[in-house]
Amino acid sequence: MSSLFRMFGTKSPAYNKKYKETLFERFTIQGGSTEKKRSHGAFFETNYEFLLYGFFIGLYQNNRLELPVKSEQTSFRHEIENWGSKRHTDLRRDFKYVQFALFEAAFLNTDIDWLRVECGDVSIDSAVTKLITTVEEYANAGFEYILEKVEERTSTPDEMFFLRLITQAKK
Amino acid sequence: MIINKVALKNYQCYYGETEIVFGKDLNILLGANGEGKTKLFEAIMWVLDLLNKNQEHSVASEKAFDELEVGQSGTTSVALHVTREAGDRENYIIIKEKVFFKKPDGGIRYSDVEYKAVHETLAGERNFISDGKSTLNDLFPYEYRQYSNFEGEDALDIFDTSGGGDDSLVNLINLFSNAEKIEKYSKIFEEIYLKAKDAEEKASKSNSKIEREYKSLLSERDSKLIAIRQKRELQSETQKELTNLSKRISDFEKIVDNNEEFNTLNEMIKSREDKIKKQDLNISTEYVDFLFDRKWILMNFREVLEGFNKKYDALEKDRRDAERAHIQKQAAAKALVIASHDFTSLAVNVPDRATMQEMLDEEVCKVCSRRAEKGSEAYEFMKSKLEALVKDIEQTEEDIPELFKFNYLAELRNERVLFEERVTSDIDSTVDDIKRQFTLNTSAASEIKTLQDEIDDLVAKKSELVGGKGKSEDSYTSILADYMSKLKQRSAKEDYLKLYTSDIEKLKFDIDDLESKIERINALTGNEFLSLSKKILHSLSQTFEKVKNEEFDEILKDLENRSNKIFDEINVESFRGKIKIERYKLVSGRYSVGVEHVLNNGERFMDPNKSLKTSVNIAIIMAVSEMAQSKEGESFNSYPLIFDAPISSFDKDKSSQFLNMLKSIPGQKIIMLKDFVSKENGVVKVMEEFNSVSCDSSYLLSLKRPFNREDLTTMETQVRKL
Repeated sequence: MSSLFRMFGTKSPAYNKKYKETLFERFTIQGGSTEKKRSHGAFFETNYEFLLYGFFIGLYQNNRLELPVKSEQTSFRHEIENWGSKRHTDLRRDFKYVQFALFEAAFLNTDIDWLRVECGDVSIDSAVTKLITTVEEYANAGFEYILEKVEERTSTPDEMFFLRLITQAKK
Repeated sequence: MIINKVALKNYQCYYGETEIVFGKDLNILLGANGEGKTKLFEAIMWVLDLLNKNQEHSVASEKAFDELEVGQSGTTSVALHVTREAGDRENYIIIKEKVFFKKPDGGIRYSDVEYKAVHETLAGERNFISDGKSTLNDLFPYEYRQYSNFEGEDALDIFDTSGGGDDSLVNLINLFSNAEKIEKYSKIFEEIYLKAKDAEEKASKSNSKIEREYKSLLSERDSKLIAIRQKRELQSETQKELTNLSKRISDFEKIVDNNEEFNTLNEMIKSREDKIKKQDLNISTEYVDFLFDRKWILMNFREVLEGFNKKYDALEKDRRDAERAHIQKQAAAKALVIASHDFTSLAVNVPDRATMQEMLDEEVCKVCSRRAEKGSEAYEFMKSKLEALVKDIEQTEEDIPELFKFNYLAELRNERVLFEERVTSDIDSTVDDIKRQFTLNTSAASEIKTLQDEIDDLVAKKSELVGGKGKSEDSYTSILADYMSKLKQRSAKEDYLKLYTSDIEKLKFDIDDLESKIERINALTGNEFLSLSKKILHSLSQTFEKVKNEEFDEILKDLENRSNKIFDEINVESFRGKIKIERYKLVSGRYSVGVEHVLNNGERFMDPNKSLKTSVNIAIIMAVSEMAQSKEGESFNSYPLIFDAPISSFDKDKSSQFLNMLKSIPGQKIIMLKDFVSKENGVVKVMEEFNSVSCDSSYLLSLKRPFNREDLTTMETQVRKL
């Protein structure tokens, strides 16, 4: 039997397709020339960093937003447990802490009768799916907010812009 | 190529036929001003096809023309007798010739130029060649020719030693290195690459929908390419203007009287600039990286963590409660089964199993202290009670159903402990960490601003110094205004340059993006093979580019060493500094070579005197020539270097030293000098000091006396071998 956190780690959250071009491709580096992309506002190394960023903005604002139908969703197919797994270098710390923070936040904010899960009356798979849905909904609200702020701006977003969005996200 | 002889016929002040024979090393032609040196230089330039077109029309000797009757004609010609190498028996004669006629009105009319050549074979046979120019090009290619003649001292500065950089040196190095050959390959690969790209693009036009998208991508890319080219032109223009401005500014700065104070100001500025660089390092604005690396993302996580702990603890408690309630419920059910007498029985496990067995073995009831022999009613009672106890124990183990089948929550406990150890203290310190970073950034930025203000003040002081070079009040004000405006212009140009560079970067980024989209379509339409070939070719052409640069740098280093060696020899015993030759990349991406005259500590040599500047130039020219001849593994033709008055600023001692050094450098040199001659009672004489100069051949050029400077027909230069 796998542990709950481990099962959560095997999932790759989905997000609204419309943010693929408007946010993800624009603000993540993903293998291109770092310097070039940075000058265009791409400060996030990977897709999952940006997803986490969106999630924490939604979380701190306590905003959730349901995702559209499956056909309008997409995912970068990178399981949570592998986020930051290649980052055990001197420069970057490992991402386990942020994976667990994600889990804790989802656990806290998802309505599941855990005693019934422990009894076997409710399946663990459905419980994990619900946790992931929570992650997706917070991130979705975060993305909506980020895009709105990006569009309000006339110039290319800089690092300060991204920091400010999250420091000011607390409700 | 070696010039063995120059033969002049009625060429300007060289009336009649004149022949000058040269040796393979150093050849010196002495002459005072106006006695025919420059005309001889020009004659050689004429036959080498390097003379300015408007100097070409009046080449005939005035005296020869004067002697003609109306309707008669004469010939003016210059012939170079050359061999490929010194001592070669296969001769070539390159001849340039013009026929001149006396018109009825007494004016002159020239025929077209005749450029011809004669080839004398080893057997002594003579072949006439009508195209003299192509023979010349074959013997002495134009690329070399254009850098082999130097008229006057200033002409030596072909490398722009003020540090501005110039293409001449790049061209020269390319001539003497394999870089040029490599470049050919690199160009071929580039061409093939472009063809492959073209083929790939053509092959992608199959599907009409894709084709439309493809076309629009291509046209977008092309328009960006045009934009980038325009920006590059602007960038290159600005770069040039900036170089000129910097030169002007440094000229202004050079004229400052109070050098010491000026240098102190420069040092003060530099130390502040260094401090700014250090402070720059203190500023960290990688906030997005910090979100993850310094856990800033958890800045508001405290509440969530507490919420989670509360929920988890509550769940665990609920679970335990539920478990306890479940057990109690089961136990209560059992108690009901056992309570079937009319009195309250002892619990099923009192006395315990061991005591019961002991009582049966001893046939005694130790509860009521009575005997209970085997078979008696009391004995049977005890035996049935023991059996009930055993059965009860077995039943408890088997029958009570477990409430919880899984332990997800319990397992979470370990992970939770681990996580809390890792982040709790970080969460609390995140906000402080952010504040600390901002304080650091702000203080560094304010320090930088203070330093920048100080620099501005110092620059203003410097400007005052530059303005106050001791001239009248008016010129003080105008020089200062001019200097200040140059400084302003420079800073504006620098801003523009930055803007262009960043625009170009952006365009490049967009083009890359479009290229990758185009490539995706190419891959989709099954052009992997072409695509792959294209990639290989592209990387090959890049490799060639790299090799070319390495080769180029090696040659530059060699050139620098040789130049310095010659430079030292020219300037023995005098303070001289060093020559620095470096390749640098212009902002436009092109390479240029810069020559700088530096002090031994690497700082720029400010305002060297003319003779030092000239010796820098000569050292480089000689070094280039020396390198050309020492090239290994190839038979390399050497080419003559022809100078007219190159060392006018040298004093006599230095001149002889220089000429003797020149003799030791291989290759033919033909030098016309005004040094070492004096005029006594109108007679031109060679000074004694010239005896210490060693050379292959030397001549004195002087006008036949008497003559009238107002009447060209009286001017006739005579050549006397020394």
